[in-house]
Amino acid sequence: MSFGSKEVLRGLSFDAKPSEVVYIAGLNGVGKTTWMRIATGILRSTSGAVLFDDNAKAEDIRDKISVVFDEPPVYPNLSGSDNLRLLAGIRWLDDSSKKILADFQLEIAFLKNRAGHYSFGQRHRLAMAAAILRRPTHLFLDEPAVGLDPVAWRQVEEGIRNMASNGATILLTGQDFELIGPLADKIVILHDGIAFFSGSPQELSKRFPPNIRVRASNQEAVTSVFPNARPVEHEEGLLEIICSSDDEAKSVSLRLQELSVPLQELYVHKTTLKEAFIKTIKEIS
Amino acid sequence: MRARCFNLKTVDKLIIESQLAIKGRATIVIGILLLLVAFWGYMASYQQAARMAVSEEERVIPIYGIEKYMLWIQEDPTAKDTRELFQNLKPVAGPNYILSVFAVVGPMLAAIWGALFFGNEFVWRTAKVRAVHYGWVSSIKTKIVVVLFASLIVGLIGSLVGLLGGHISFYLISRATEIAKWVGDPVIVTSWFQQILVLWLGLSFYGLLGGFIALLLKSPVFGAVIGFTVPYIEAYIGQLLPMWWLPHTAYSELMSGSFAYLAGSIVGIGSNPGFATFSPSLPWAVVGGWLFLICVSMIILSKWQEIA
Repeated sequence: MSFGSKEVLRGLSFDAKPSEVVYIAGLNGVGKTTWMRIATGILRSTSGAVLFDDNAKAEDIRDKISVVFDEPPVYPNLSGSDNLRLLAGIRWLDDSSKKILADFQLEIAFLKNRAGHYSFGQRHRLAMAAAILRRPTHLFLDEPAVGLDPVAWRQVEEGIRNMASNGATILLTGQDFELIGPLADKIVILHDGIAFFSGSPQELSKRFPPNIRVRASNQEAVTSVFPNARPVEHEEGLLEIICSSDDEAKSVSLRLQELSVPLQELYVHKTTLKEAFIKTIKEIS
Repeated sequence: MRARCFNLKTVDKLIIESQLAIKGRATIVIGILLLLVAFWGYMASYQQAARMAVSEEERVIPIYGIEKYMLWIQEDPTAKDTRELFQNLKPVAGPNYILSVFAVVGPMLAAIWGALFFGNEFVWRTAKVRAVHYGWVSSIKTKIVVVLFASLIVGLIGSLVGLLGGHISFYLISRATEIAKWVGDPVIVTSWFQQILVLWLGLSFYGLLGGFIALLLKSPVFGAVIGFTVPYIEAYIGQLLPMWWLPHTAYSELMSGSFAYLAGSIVGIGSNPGFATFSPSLPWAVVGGWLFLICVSMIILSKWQEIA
């Protein structure tokens, strides 16, 4: 896929299975949203295709697809419930729909108000509810955590988990690793138009084994034993000893405790998803 | 909650799209505008007839006497305009009157309405979601059907408003002057069905033209402005050169051939002699052809259009 002379996506390839939550991560402008637009069939790729079950394209299985874009749209002159029906493509809200609405804290009284008066967060919840009301087998969420308060996010999270447990494939993008990361079964890191990494969050974290972090009154004593110990950025007096495996981390920890140096702090620091992502991007760059 | 296929039937899409049209602010505003124009039409015609009645009762009737005046106004060719002033307010002329008014002002309002109906999907960013959930081509096809249907509804409502307005205006003018009762019903040669058909063609074509421009430029404002001015540009060009194939020229010919423009009406239209040399069905074919062409163009455009 290219815009003018700039190629945005090239040779991007990954798969997503039923019941899988796939988190498509990457720096701004790498083509996450572009990919989502191609996948949902509203943007044509110059080559290649996003294929669903039985090699179908998005336009062939439209009824099985739902999407929530980063800027949730509404018909401002219509009520919330009219918007739900129009955006979801349903004639009326049945009892099962009302359960979903309750999950998203969308009360009937609230839905009677004109959607033009809704806040960004309320629009987002409405768009999420509309997408879930369609009961899709493939749900695309572009930046689903943006603008949601913690309570609303919890509802969204629960909705995503429920859908995945019932066999739907969820594909989401976003920059909020703390919120989105725990939901993901698979992470795909886009960089320079390709999927640089594709695997589980555990696999990504394993690429960066745990480190030992230590704070000692006598730093020289530590660095003399562990010459590879380095100060941690933005943490005064804290040293980090990079290990190659969990076993090495254990052995380093034991050796530090055996030193005749008083330790103020000693802990195993496991690489978070966000750190793993940043390190991966640094590696690629 | 089980993941399942969600299948929306065509009739469901039509119902949903119709709801969007009915509940839209543009529909309410333009609907009220059309009703106001109808009301204004009757007010203007009533006032003109009432003024004439006062003049006739004070100056003409005392000179000739009632019986002679009755004969004159009922049959004499020189009384045509005076007679028509009262005939225009009769119930039988009501649908013709209001449909002829709607046929003149309707296309311009339809162009604005069509532009907003199609173009607002881009302003509100709902186009992307609609394109994914419904399919853009499917959405546009449904919208086209809704425009065609809405044009028919306007024709039917216009007829009813005319019928009702005719009864009310004739009741009022009959109370104001006896002359109204002496005048017979106007002769309207074309059928009600034909008049509704002409209005339907005009509203549908210009409504979709506004929508097409809005769709092409992804802007309801441009669609409304260009769609509104196109009939004027066509009328201007049509005066300079005999362009029978222009939709507005053909539509004007249909209007002049299908509506009776009685004296006192707020609208009037001259016939286009250019069509006399061709078949009488040519203007129907021209407007119908343009309507077909705009429908096909919109479907093709929506097929190739990228919404993102």
